[in-house]
Amino acid sequence: MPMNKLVRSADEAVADVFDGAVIHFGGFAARGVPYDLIAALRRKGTKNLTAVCNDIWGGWRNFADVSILVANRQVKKLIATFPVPASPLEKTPFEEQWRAGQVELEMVPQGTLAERLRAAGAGIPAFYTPTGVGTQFAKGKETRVFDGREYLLELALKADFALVHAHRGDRYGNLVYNKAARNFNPPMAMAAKVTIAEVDDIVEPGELDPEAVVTPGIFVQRVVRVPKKK
Amino acid sequence: MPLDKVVAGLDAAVRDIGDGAVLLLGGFAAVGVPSHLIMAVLEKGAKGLTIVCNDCNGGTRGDRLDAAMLVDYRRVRKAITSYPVVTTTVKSCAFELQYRRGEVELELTPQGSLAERLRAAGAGIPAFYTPTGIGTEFAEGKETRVFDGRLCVLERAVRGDFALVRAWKADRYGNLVYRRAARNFNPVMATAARTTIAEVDEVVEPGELDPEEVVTPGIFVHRVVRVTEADRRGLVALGEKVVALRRGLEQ
Repeated sequence: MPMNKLVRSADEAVADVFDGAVIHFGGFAARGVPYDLIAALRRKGTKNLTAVCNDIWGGWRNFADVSILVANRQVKKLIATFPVPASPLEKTPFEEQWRAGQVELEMVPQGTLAERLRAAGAGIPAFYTPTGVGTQFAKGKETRVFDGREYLLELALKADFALVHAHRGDRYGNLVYNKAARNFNPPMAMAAKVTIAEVDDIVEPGELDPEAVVTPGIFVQRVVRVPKKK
Repeated sequence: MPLDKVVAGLDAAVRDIGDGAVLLLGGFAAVGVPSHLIMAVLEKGAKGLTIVCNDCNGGTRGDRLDAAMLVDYRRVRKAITSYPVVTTTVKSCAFELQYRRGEVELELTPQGSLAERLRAAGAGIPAFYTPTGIGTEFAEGKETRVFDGRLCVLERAVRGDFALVRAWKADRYGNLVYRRAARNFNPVMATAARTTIAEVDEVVEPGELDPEEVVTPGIFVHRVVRVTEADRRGLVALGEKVVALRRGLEQ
């Protein structure tokens, strides 16, 4: 039987996400966010999640990002670069829950977040980076000097599930992305046991130029087509 | 003046490669090798080089015009590589002979670790842990540590003075695309040297390469040289000499 990773709906795609799961969520601000998969998780109500994402922007037009899961009290811990909006005037459910001690936060510098994800996908358990030395980000972390410069030891960040958004995919799971909507999706796609991709369009195997494939299908377990967001 | 990294020819491309330089050389076996740039380095005469490459043995038939040429002409002091010798035991190559006589140093590196050491250098990562090599000679002399119950070795980044890469097409900004398996080590090497020099089949205008398809952003590339027919003829002529030199070794 030919390989077919297509599933019929976002709900079907996330059906086995379990309480307590660690989940990567692709996206940077409003772009490349797996909105439909997140909505499906919201409907499902899975709890005590550890959510890994660049930011909780809040969403865009009618579409809501991880903030909707936080508002619905489904998130126990957030690992992110931008856990709150840039404006101090905006109070979000995340900030309220965090101040009340109801949700845990691990803040990660953006480049370090990308590298921790990439390391997990590449089988590298830990690496050294200069980012964060001399700041609060260094608290509790090992440091070491290489060639006269200080570095922090950072650990790979693996997940049970990665929810990514891609531009086009085929039924082998090969994915290409659209411009800045690429962002965190490729490293996250490699760094989870089960990678679920929502795509704007499905194409036949062979239609994607192999030189242009950004995420080889071997990293992807499920692909679901979702309506294009304008 | 608009950004234009295209240089006039091979000699201009390698003009400042001197004795003792650390060269990252792209290629995997016969594919994706910057043969013409290597020819130019040979002609320039630089010696005492450290070469970082997937392989430097010239191939089982001894006909590959790759990093091994620098070894054949005794320009190499040290190699950081995964395949220093040919895979057959019935013949040897220049590297093996020089190694056995103590004339060249070898840092044998597992292939994935070599790729990762280069990638780390390009990404600003000085060192990382990997399970590859544990329980083998590759782990000797290296620090090890347990992560999630699994023993790993600490590997250091490998940076070059120059990266000589082979790409398919470049634009004037230095953006590069590669052709199929000729990609191999070229992208990671392109990020991991102070000066990256790319030899290509074709130079296009900025905008002609689909941005989604660019594999090496131009920011990593300093010089682009298009291979000409004269360059190809020069390589063929050199190749005849190299093959004869290698055959001479067997006698």
